[in-house]
Amino acid sequence: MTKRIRSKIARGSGELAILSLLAERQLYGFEIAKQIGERTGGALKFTLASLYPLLYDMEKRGWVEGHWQANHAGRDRRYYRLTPAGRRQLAPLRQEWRTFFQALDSLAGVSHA
Amino acid sequence: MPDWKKWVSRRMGSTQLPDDVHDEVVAEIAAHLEDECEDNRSLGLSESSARRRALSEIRWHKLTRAVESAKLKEDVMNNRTKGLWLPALANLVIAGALLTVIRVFGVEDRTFSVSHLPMALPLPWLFALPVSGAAAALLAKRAQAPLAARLIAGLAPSLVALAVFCVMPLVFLLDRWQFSGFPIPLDYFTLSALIWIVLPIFPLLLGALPFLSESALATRSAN
Repeated sequence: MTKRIRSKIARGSGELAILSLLAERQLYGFEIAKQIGERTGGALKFTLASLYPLLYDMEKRGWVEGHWQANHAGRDRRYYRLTPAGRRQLAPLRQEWRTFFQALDSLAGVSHA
Repeated sequence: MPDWKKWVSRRMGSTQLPDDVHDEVVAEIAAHLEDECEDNRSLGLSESSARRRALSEIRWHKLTRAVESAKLKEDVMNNRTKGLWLPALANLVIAGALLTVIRVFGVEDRTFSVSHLPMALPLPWLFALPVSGAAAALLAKRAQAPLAARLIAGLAPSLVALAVFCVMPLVFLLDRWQFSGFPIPLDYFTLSALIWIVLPIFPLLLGALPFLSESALATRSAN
């Protein structure tokens, strides 16, 4: 698999992961990275360098919006929440990945691996 | 505990981002590092180990470029449209309109014969071209386009003619160097290229010139 395709898959999965988390509640960058790591058992891991460019790109596209707010410890953090456009994006993105995995499964039997 | 904002700002260096956006990015990344360090310490790591671990995978140059690219993506597109494509298009439209108006008002081109074929030299149009060159360069300058973009926008009609004359030989070759059954002499083709590509460069450049120099820019923006 070429680096370009791998990068597209990583990007697409990152977008879906972030949108799915933010659909539950607003989170700031560190929380997003931590939750993705924890909830996928470390299979998906966001570094600082991969997370923020993706968040800024999604913000530019109008899927998420950031705002500063104090966290539970009273420190200012930039929280992200889903916009209506981001919420609309979530269902087709989920369907796209479902189709992708089904196709891969029928080809390579990955769900039984 | 280090001053993360100062630390991140130093590591990221200068960026192309507007100051307020740059400061916000620095503050956000500093907050992330602060949280990550604290999280590492809660796992039992010492202060220095926690910091080392938090910073271990960051390639600052790459991060800075990626953030710039994400934050400026649309702006770059808009800037290119405003600073190059629109002025170039305006230049083409004005040049085309000038040619039409001149023909409608019956102003005659100078005609002469090349290889027994009539050749028109659109002198009135060439004299009017500084207007479209100036308009394009002015539009590009107002969009704060770099010198190369202002020059390309200013010379757009010549560049388009160049593209057309590059394609034409291929078409003629398919038709055995003929056009609608008439043979095309090489000197006629070359002179046509000269008239529609090279000659317009001079009036276009003349019109664009006041908007190409940086000193003129500085004077105008100061005014």
